[in-house]
Amino acid sequence: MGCMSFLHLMLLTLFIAVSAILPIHTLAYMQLLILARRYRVAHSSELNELPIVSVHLPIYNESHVVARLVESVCNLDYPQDKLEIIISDDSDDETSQICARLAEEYRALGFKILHLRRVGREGFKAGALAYALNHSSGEYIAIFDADFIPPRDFIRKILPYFSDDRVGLVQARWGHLNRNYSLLTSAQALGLDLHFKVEQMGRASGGFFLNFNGTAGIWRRSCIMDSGGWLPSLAEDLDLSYRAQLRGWRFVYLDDLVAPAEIPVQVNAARRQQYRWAFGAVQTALRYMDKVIFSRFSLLGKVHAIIHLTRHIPQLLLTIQVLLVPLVIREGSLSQNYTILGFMALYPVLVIISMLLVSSGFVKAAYRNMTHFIRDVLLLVVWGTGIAVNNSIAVLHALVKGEMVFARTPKFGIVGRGVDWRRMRYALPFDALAVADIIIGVYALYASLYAYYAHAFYFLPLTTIFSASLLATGFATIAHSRPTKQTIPHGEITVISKIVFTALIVLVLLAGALSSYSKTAYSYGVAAGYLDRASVAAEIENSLRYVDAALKVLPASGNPVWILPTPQTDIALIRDDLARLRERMETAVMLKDDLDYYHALYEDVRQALSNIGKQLRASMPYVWLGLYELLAIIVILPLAITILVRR
Amino acid sequence: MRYAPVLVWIMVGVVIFTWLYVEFIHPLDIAMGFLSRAQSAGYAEDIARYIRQAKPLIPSEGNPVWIFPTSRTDFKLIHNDLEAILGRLSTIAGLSRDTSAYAQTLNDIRSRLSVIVGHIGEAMPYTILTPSNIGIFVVWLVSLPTAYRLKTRLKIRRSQEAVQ
Repeated sequence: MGCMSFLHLMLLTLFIAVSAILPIHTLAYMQLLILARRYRVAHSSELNELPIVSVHLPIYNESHVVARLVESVCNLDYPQDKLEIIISDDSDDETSQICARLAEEYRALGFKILHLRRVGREGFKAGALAYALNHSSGEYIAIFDADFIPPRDFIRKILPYFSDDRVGLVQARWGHLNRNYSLLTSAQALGLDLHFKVEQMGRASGGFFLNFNGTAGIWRRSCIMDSGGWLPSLAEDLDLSYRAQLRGWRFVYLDDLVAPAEIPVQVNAARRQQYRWAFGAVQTALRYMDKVIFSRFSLLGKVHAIIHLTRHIPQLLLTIQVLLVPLVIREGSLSQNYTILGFMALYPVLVIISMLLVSSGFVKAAYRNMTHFIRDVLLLVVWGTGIAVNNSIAVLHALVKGEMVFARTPKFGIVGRGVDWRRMRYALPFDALAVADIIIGVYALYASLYAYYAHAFYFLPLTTIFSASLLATGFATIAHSRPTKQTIPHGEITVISKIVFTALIVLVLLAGALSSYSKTAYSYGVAAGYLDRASVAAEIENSLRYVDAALKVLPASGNPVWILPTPQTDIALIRDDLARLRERMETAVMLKDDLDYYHALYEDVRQALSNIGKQLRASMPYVWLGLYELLAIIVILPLAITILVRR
Repeated sequence: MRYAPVLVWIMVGVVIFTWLYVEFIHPLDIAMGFLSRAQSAGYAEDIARYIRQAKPLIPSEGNPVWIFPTSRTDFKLIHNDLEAILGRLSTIAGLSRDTSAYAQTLNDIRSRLSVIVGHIGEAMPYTILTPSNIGIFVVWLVSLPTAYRLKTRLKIRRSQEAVQ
C-alpha cells in the first residue's frame, strides 16, 4: 500500500466501502428471516358495536378495472348502513363516466357511495386520499387501489385488532391475480411475497417500524389526523407510516388475510413502479431519518428503520461496484488485496441467491415444487439486478431533491394467461432509461471480458449477471413499448415457435461467438501460450521452438485493437521484436560455452517474451469482440427480442 | 421527438468524452504502447528507437496529479529517467552484443521501463480528471436533470394557472 497513489487508494477504499455496505443490508435481511419464523399476531377481542367504516378508492384513469373494484367493495360482508364508499376520482378519461354510473347504480341498491371529482391532480394519490378523508365520516378508513379485489370478510377480520387503542393501522398481505401470466409477473410475485413473508412478518415480530403498503389496509382516522394527514409524497404510504409510528402509534401486519391484486404485466410499467418506490423511499428517508435516529425506539429498531428506508441504495452501490471493476483490476490494487476484493465481489451474488433459497420455507405454499421456485428465484435475480440502474437513477434523483410527477402504474384487468395488453389503453411508450440499461449492460460485458483476460475470475459472477440482467431488461423494455404505429397483425406466436426461435438465435450467436473465437482470438491465445512456454523453458533451443510456433500462428500484420489502437498491440512490431529476440537466442546457442553470457541473455529474452505474451492477451478481447461482431449483437439481440415479445 | 433531448444529451456527452480522451489520454496511451514495445524489443537500438518515439507524446514537465502529488508522476523526472536510459543504451551500443554485460543491461532497462510505464499509467487518470474537465463533466451531467426540472416546474405552474 505504501507505493499506492491517492487516486488508487480512493478507488480501493470506495470499492471496499461499497462492498462492505451491501452485507449490512444482507445481515438485516437475515435477521428478519429469523424473526419472521417467530411471527405471531396477538388475539384480539371482538368489537361490541360495529363502527362506521369508510372505504377510500383513489382512482386515476382505471377504466379496465374500476368496475371490478367497486363491485368487490360493495360485496364486502359489512352492514350497508355502516359502510361508506368514497370514489376519489381524478381521471381525465372515460373512467369518470364509469365511476359515475357505478355510483348511481349501487346508490340505487342502498349503498352509501360517493363519487368525488377534483379539479386538477394536486398532491396526486395523497391529494386524492386527503380529499376523500375530508368528505367521509368513518372512524376507520379502508384503502384499496384500483386493481385490488378485497375478500368479503376483509373488514370484519381486521376491525377486532383496533380494540387496542394504540393500533393505528392494520395491513393485510397482497395476493396475486396474475402470478403465472408471464416470467415477469412470476418474478415480481416472488419479490412481493418475500417482502410480506419475510420483511413485514420479521419487522412485525421484532417490533420494528412497519409500513403501510398503500392499499389493502385499514387506518384509524384519529391516527391519520394525529400524524398530520396525507402529505404530498411519491410514497405517501411510507411517509404517513413513519410519521404515525414516530407519534407512538402501533401497526399490525396480518399475514392470514390476503387481498389479491394485479401485478404489472408490462416491463415499462413495472420499472416505473420500481422507480416511484425507490424515489419515494429516499424522499421519506430524507424527511424522517433524523427523527428516527433521535426517536425513543431501540437501537436495533432504528438500524432496521434506516435499512428499511434506504433499501434501494444497495442497487446503486451494486452499480457503482460493477463500474469500478475494470478500474480496480487495471490499477493492480488486487496484487495485495485480491482475497478481500474477490470475496467482496462474490459476496452479493452468493448471498442473494442463497438467501432467496433459504426463504423458500416462507413462500412454498405458492409453489407446486422446488423447481418452479428455483426458476422464479433466478428470474427474480435477473429482474432485481436488471432494474438496478433504473432504481439507482431514482435514488440519485431523489437525493438531489428533484421533483417527480406521480406516474401511476397502469393496470389492464388481466388475470389469465394469453390476454394481450399491447393494444390496450394505458400501455406505456418507450422508457428512455432502457438506453442507460443497455449502455451500462455493455460496459458490464466489457468488465466481464476484462476480468476474464486479467484472470480476475472472482468478478465474473457479479459482472456477468449484471450485464445479462441489464441487457435483458433494457431490450425487454424496448420490446414492451407501446407500438407507435398501427401494424398489420401477424397472428400469435406459439410457445413452441418462440422456443424454436430463441434456440435458433442462441445457436446463431453461439456459433458466431465460437467461430469468431476459433478464427481470430484463439490464434492469439495459442501464440500467447507458446510465448509463455518459451519464457519458462529450461533451454534456449526449446524457447526457440516455441517462438517459431508462435510466429506461425500469428497474423502477418495489423492491429487487433479497432478503437484508438497503440503500438503495444501492433502485430508487425510484435513479429519484428520476436524475430530479433530469436536472432539473439540463435547466437547464444552457438556461444553456449560462455555460461555468463548464455544465462544473462536467456534471462533478458525470457522477460521480453513474457511481455509479448501479455501484449497479445491484452488484444484478445478486441479480436474476439470486433467491431462487426459488436454491431451484429446490437442489431440481432433487440431484433430477436422484439420479434419474440411483439406479435 | 419526445426523447430527442435525451438523445442529444447522450450524443453531446459521447462527443465530450471522446474529445477529452483523444486529447488527454490517448497520446499517453500511445507513449505507453511504445514503451511497452521497448520492453520486448530485441536490441539496444530498437529499445532506444521506441523510447524516442514515446518521448514527444509525454508532456515535457508538470505533474498531472493535482491532489497530493508525488515525484512518481512528475513528467520532468520521468523524462530525466528516460534520458538516462537512452544514455545507458548508447553506452552499451558500443559493446559487442554477444556479451553478458549487454544482456544484463537490457534486462535491467526492461525492468526500469516497466516501472516507468506503471508511473505513466498512474498519472493517466489525472490528466483527464483536471478541475476544469470535472467542471465540464458536472455541467454536462446536471444539464439534463436541470432541464427536466425546469420543464416540470413550468408544467406545474401552467396547470395551476389553468385551474385558477
